[in-house]
Amino acid sequence: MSDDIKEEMKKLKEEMAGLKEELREMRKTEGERRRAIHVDVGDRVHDYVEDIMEGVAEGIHGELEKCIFIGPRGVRITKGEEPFREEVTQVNFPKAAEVMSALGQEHRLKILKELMSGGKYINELQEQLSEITTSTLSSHLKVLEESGLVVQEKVRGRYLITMPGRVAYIMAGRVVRFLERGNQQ
Amino acid sequence: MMWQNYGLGGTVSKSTENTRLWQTEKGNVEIGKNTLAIQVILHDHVRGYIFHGHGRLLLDTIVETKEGAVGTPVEKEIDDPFIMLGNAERTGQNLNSASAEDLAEAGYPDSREFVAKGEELLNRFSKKGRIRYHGCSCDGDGLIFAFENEGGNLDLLLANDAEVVYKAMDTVFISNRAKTILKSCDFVCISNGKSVIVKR
Repeated sequence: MSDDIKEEMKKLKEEMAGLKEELREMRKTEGERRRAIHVDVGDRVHDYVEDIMEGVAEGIHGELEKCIFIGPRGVRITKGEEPFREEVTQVNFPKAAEVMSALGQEHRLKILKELMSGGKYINELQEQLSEITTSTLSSHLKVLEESGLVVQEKVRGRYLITMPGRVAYIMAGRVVRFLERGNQQ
Repeated sequence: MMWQNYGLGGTVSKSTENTRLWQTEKGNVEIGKNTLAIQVILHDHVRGYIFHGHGRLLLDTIVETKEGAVGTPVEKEIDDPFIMLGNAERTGQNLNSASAEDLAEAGYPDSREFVAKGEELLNRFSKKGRIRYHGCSCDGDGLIFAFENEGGNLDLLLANDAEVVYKAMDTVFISNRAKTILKSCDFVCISNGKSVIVKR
């Protein structure tokens, strides 16, 4: 290889290195330009940002209410109008009070907990709740049955937790956890 | 076996003691002492009875699911005449002849009145019901009950040791060892012990 060619290749390499550097600079500048949003709002930047955030929050809130129902068993996503919205907000107060009253006793909550794992005979429940008498246990079961949280088989005599019973028990637990978390904060 | 050739026996009997006509862990049907009974006969064989007295139906129309139990049990006092087809031989062992006093106590002036009432009930069951039983076989251990309901129609209970089909005014309950279906006025629940569909 002659010296001329060597010299030529060296120049080309230097030129390539220069072009590469130029390209890197250009990319850097373009990236910064893309990342930045230039908004001319004069002196009222704060108001402008607040307006935008308020609109975004309203939009998100509306969409959440429309399409996601947060129920006792988790999040349910629906299409279109939320059919449960009215059900959630409308409460049958006498029935709600009856259910809450049935839940409002520690032993009755313990009974529900025992039944969460499956149907049980009264003697099985008695073994788990040995601190109360059989007549007291029967009385608690009657309250739970009347409120629809528990049902008793007429033939075998087992007690079963109903669907509303499971929901009520889980909700009670969640409310308590929320309250405890609130107190910690 | 063709139920269109049925007939009723001419002798009215009464139960000598409280008797369970059907019993499984899902339910039972029982009659009290002194319940009137008349034979349902087909081809010279006793195939069942029509009873009138104090009876009781218990049926746990409850579906157990992982999400909780659905349905409430049926507890029904049966003071009107009702039909039972099947299990005739064993039932007959607990019956004796009924007297005029027994008939009078149930509100019948004589046995013809009771027979006429039984014929009318059997006629409704076999011909006028929504379900026709002309091809129904009852040779096995299965039982068929037909109870009058408040709407003037017949509630039907078909049962053997493992399976139950109950069709009443506002409830349909079908259960075998593996699966259960319960339909009421406002929901349908299907369970195989694991999954459940509840539609409102």
